Amino acid sequence: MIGPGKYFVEGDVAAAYGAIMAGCRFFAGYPITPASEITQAMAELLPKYGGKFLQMEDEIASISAIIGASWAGIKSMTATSGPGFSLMQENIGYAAMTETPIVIIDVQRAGPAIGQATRPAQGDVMQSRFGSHGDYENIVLSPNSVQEMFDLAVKSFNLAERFRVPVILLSDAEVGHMMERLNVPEKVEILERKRAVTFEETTKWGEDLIPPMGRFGDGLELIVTGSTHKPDGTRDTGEPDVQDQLVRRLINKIEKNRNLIEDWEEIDSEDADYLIVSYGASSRPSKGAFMKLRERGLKIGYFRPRVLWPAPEKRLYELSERVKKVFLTEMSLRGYRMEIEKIFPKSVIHIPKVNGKVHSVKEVLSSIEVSI
Amino acid sequence: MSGIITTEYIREKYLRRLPTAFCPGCGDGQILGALIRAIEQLNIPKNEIVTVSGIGCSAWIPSPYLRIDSLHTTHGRPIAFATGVKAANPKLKVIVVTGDGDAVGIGGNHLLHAARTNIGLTVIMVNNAVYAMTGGQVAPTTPHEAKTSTTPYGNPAFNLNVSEVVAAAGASYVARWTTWHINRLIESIKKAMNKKGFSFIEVISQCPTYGGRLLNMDHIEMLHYFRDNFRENADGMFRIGEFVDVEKPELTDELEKLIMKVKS
Amino acid sequence: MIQIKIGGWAGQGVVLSGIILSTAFSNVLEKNVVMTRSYTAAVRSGITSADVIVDDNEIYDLNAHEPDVLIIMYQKTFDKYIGMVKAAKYVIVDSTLVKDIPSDLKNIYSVKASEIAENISSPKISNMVLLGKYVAITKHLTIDALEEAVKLSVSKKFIDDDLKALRSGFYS
Repeated sequence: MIGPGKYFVEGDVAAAYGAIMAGCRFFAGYPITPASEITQAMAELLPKYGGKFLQMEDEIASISAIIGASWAGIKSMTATSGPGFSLMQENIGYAAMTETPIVIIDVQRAGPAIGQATRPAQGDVMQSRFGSHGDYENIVLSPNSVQEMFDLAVKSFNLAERFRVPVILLSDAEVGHMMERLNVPEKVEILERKRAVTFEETTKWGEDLIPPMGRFGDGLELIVTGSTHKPDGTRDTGEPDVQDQLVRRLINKIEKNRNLIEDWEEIDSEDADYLIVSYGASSRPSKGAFMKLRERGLKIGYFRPRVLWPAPEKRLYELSERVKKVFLTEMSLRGYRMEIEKIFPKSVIHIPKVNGKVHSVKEVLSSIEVSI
Repeated sequence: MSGIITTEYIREKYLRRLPTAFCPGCGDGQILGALIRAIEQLNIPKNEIVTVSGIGCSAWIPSPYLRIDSLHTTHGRPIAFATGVKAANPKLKVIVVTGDGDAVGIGGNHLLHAARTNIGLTVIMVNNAVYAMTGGQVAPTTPHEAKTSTTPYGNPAFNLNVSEVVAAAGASYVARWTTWHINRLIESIKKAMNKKGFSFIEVISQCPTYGGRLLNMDHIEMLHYFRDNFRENADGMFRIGEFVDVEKPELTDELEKLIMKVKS
Repeated sequence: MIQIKIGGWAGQGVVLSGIILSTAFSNVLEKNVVMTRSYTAAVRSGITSADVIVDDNEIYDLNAHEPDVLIIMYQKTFDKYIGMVKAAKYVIVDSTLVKDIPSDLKNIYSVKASEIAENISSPKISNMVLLGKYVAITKHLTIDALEEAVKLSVSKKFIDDDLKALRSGFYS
């Protein structure tokens, strides 16, 4: 059992601890480097908590099973890396369409294709938002330490339950395999889904646009479908208004609530002419570089989204009023670049690293020094 | 339960609406009727049942017509979704209604592993030997040399004997019937639903639209073809009846035992 | 800040050595510690390394880019890290397996780790000999702190031999 206290563990293991503390009681997964440690930890932990673990035949089956389990009323999760994450994309869209709370951990490795199984990268940032077809919104979190693998795993479940969406904890091989101190608190804050008691309740929503969710076995005679459907769940793939209203609500329930979801770390940006933007493993050396530059008197700020999607756009637009240059450090040539360049057109200096290694503080420093 | 079970009673209790969207003469309506009658005869409360289906005509048998919890999933994956439902709440009777393309074309891997792990699902696979919803393309169950919309010169490949494969993979119960053998199908569904482990029923069914067009038969002629050719003592695809009927440890039972062991 | 890099061949217990050192610094001395690793997917081939970064403050560099200490268990690793070897303050080397060492290097501390380990039980515990030597040379940790970390990190049936190997390295 996971008692409160200090641990020295891998990020992957910390994420499993967080999931358990958040109330996850079903995990279905398929082995893949560098996420297997999460799967193994869940296999060991879940039975102790009366939960169920299944190793499935592939990643498609894994995400299918956790969606099924979520409709049976159990908080559910899977974990994978790039190749498996690609296989899961169709059912990520299915979870968005059926408004099923699930958590998927993607421990990113260098791609494309098989790439470098054991090396970190951040090339799945756009896929984590746009990977499935059609219009939908989900929530993506980015941890940069072993502690955050735990904290954000808990948060992922809370967001999934609150907004009835698939939530992706987008880690990377460096944070997943890194060992650091983890403080497990006595208790974590847990949010439960709004549960419908009648069928009627499942067909209506309030200002937050999120209808209460029914549960299989409660006699509500639920109709759950990935096809375009009316609020009561019945399939209607012909009526234009049904599709229009459904898709707009799926987008708007995130869009209109983004102030409740967005989350970031921001230091010394009030007077900043320059801003370092980074996330995940690469944010660690980026913060080191920022500290050094501030010590030297440069008016530079540090900005790290903990929630990548929805992006903290409002705050970044505010900062774009005064910031002259933005340094985006990430382990990808594409990564978060389109988002940051949208907000800071023409003032982004991109500092990517794509050799399967995390930047050093020195590398970030020298890349910034040559640009100012 | 009292009095005579009338068609009206059945409709009111189990169906959200009629008519169905199935083509005239389609076997899917017969299979829906057989499923309802099996549930009614077993007298299982509806809130103890969850139906799961994939993509294809067969997927519409439970969803949205049945007044029972239904999960209409992505193509090929209903067995994997159902595995999660069953594992999360083993008290539920989880029925998967799938087609030949869904279950052994795109989703064959899930079928094999569900049979191997002997998870307590009841899978009813409608086999019409063709991809009907998308326009009559060749399926893994289409006979050799048969003409379909993607084998206009005849099928160069060979069909899979699905029931034999599922039997070999370790299922607790495997049976094959046709839409001519409805009463035996109902009895078989009842038996399958009471089975602890993985149960699989293949129903050879007529597609009057595509199968019929290609075979130049109407649905009545196809049913007569089933009557005349499918027998319990026949070979290969023409064999009907029960292939497997055994008791062995079921996956969610084993998971519960594992939890008890770890906790103590 | 202390940066330590342990380098060897897959299967030599490189990562376990990193875990033991990290545990000693983190659990016993309450320092901030990050341990990262580099390995290939194959279980029994390829250069493997573990980086341990120790600091009283927040840790920004996740890898030992300029290690103060290198613990080298294999010739190929020694050759690969030769640049770091020259710049490091201390280089602890298993001289049973690393024989080709430039004579002009003054920062090399050799111990016949594999040989000593084999005499105790198995060359598999050569990593423990090297850790003992590391403590003796650098005094970053006390041998007691390291012994405690070993007890926290390895399974019971190996503890006695491991501690024996640790002390052999320390007193060598």
